[in-house]
Amino acid sequence: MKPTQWIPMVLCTLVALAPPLWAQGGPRPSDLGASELDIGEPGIAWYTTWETALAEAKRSGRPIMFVAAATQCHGVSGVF
Amino acid sequence: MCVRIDSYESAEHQKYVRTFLNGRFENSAFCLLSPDGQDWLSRAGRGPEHVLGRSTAACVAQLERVAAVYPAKEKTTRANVQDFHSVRQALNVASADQRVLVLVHGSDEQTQPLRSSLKEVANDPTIIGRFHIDFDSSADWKKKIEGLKDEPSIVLVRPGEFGLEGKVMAQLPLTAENAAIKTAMLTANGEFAKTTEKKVYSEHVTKGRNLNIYFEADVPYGEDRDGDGEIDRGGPGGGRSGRSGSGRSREGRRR
Repeated sequence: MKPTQWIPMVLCTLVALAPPLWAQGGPRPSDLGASELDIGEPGIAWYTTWETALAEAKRSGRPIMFVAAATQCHGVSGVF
Repeated sequence: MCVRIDSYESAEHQKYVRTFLNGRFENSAFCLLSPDGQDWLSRAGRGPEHVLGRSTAACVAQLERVAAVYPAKEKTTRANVQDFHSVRQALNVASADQRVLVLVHGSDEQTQPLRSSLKEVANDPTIIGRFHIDFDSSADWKKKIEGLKDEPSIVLVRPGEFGLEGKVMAQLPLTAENAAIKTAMLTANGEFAKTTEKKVYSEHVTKGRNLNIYFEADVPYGEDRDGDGEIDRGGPGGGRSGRSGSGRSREGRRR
């Protein structure tokens, strides 16, 4: 995928989804609404372990957008 | 390319997050890195808004600048297939992103060839970004997947609301042709989209708290904002324990 294709997709998800929350020091799912993305539609093609991500970045020569976040909020799972 | 790890999945992840936050540990971290992972291509911070700018246009400009310096030297259509450290985590993340989970289950010897052969499927324009994929050879998760035939296979799983369990949508042999796998995935994705209500995350968390849902982590919840190496008491998460003393079971229900 060309950068021109994935960059807007990344930003739509990361920034437009919850702009005020990043400004508060990090998004908290307890303050979030629904995703703007419809279920079944393509979102970010995440790598979900550092090892696989690094291997792919080295293979392809592409830079890495690194994100760490919690997969729970107040211990409640099913959020990221 | 994009990587998103769980800050609380392991002590190793926690240590990694600290490297981006001057020794502090907080829920989230963000940084752009060189392809070998060694050099920072941006400042680090808690999120893209902190690092790249508050406007979407500013973020796009920064990302395009970085991407232009590092054009892909290999075909992205042959990109490696993602993986998780555990089915437990894969279910949770698939639930969070509301995607069908593709579970490639079998011995390491059986699943290794699929790490290569599935690249064609995983990077197909109709597939990429719509699923999560996990390779797993363990057995401890099997009772969490309703309708599972216990045999080496590619299992398409509908993740549960809180990602603590799942249901089989389709199950194919490891020897299935890529065309058949792709067809099954697209069918499952269409069915999932039609029959799944979009989460409102604030309501989801409230409902989970009312139901005493609890996802136990391998490290304590909370943040270390003073960077003394210990989770702060009374801060966000309050040093509430992930692994011990929570009074709730690993399965997510209060004992």
